[in-house]
Amino acid sequence: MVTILALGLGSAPRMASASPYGPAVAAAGVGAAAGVGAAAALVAFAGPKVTPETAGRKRAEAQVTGRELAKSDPAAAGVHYDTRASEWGDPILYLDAADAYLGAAEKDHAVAMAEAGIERAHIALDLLHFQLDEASDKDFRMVETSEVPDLISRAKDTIDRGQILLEELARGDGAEGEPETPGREKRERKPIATRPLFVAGAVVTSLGGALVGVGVVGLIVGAVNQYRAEGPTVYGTEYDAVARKGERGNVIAAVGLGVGGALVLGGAAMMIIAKVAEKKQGKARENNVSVAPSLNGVAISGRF
Amino acid sequence: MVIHRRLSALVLSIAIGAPLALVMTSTSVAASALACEDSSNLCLDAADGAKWEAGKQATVKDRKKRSEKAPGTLSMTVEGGRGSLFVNGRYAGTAPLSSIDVASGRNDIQVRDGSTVLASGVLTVPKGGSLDVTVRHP
Repeated sequence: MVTILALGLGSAPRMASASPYGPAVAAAGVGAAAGVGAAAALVAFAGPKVTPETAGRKRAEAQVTGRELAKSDPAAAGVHYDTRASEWGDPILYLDAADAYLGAAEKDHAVAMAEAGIERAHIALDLLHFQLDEASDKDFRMVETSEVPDLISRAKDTIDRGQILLEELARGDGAEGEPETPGREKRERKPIATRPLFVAGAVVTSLGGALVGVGVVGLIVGAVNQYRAEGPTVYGTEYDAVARKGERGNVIAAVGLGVGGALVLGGAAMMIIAKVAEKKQGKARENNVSVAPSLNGVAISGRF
Repeated sequence: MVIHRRLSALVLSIAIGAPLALVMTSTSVAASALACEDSSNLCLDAADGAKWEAGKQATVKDRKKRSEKAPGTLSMTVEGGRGSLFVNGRYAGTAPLSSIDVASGRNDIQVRDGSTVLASGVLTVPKGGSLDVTVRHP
């Protein structure tokens, strides 16, 4: 059974209590984690006042860690930025997350990462445009309004970059400096149809068993006629008839045991191969667990 | 003999007709659940006391009356696109959203996709109510 789990990033109670901006800001991010089992945790309440200065201080802390992570693992940096951005509803951190995910997409040729990056840039656009709207809370400002147009341009550029990357990935283009050589591509093995192989093996084994049975009968016939031929009263034409029957029995025994034995061995081998292949393919499916960012946090897919 | 044949025909028609009717009914229910036809782009699967007023804004009195002690929950999906939800001037998440706690009372709601406002108005949330909102992306 293949299961997909959507994990919300962080837990809402932690965010609600730990966020310096109060539950409302925690809610802002948690909202993005609308995934499994997060129901009661999500809140959209009013909270204390947030200024670009206080938001900037907190953002700077997140960016220090994010930059360190980005050097070795852009995907991890993306998840880090994403988590922090969703706690605060911070458009700049969403853009940082988008950049990190696009970096990971380029590095790993991962379509899911590119899509996640584009979506984070879209969320940043939502937040930035909303700040310019009269309906936005004047006591809740993650960035200076004067910075918004530049940030909108950055978000649009990020989306464009993501779209180009997605197109490249769809075409199967390799990363720069790593042109793909079609001839060197590893050929995927066709999975063995284990069940039909097992059934065929069982049929062949049964057939072989039947032939072995016939061979045994032939042996008995040969032995009986041998015994009769050795009798003192059997001679002349009667002896010839008994000898013929005995020879026929021996031929049947040789063919039956020989061919039947070969079929039994072949059938057993087919059944063993089918069972081994089934186990291997099952393991391969179990090992095929992937982790990728999703709109609502992190998606883990695979066989559980 | 005739009665026997008629009975068989009746049983056969029920056997074929009932599942067919069921399939047709469920299809039409699913279609109506998916399609949001409201001109405000927002369709509310209303709990008792829930109300959607497109284009309206909450008053100062409404803000004072909101209660976070007895909140309701809100789930939201966007048909045909994406969108983020803003409640009372603050970001509440990006669709699909599941059971966000929202203060009971009259809440300012806006759903937008970038510069496009998909829906805007006042949503009245009853105490402890559970609301499902579908927003149509034009």
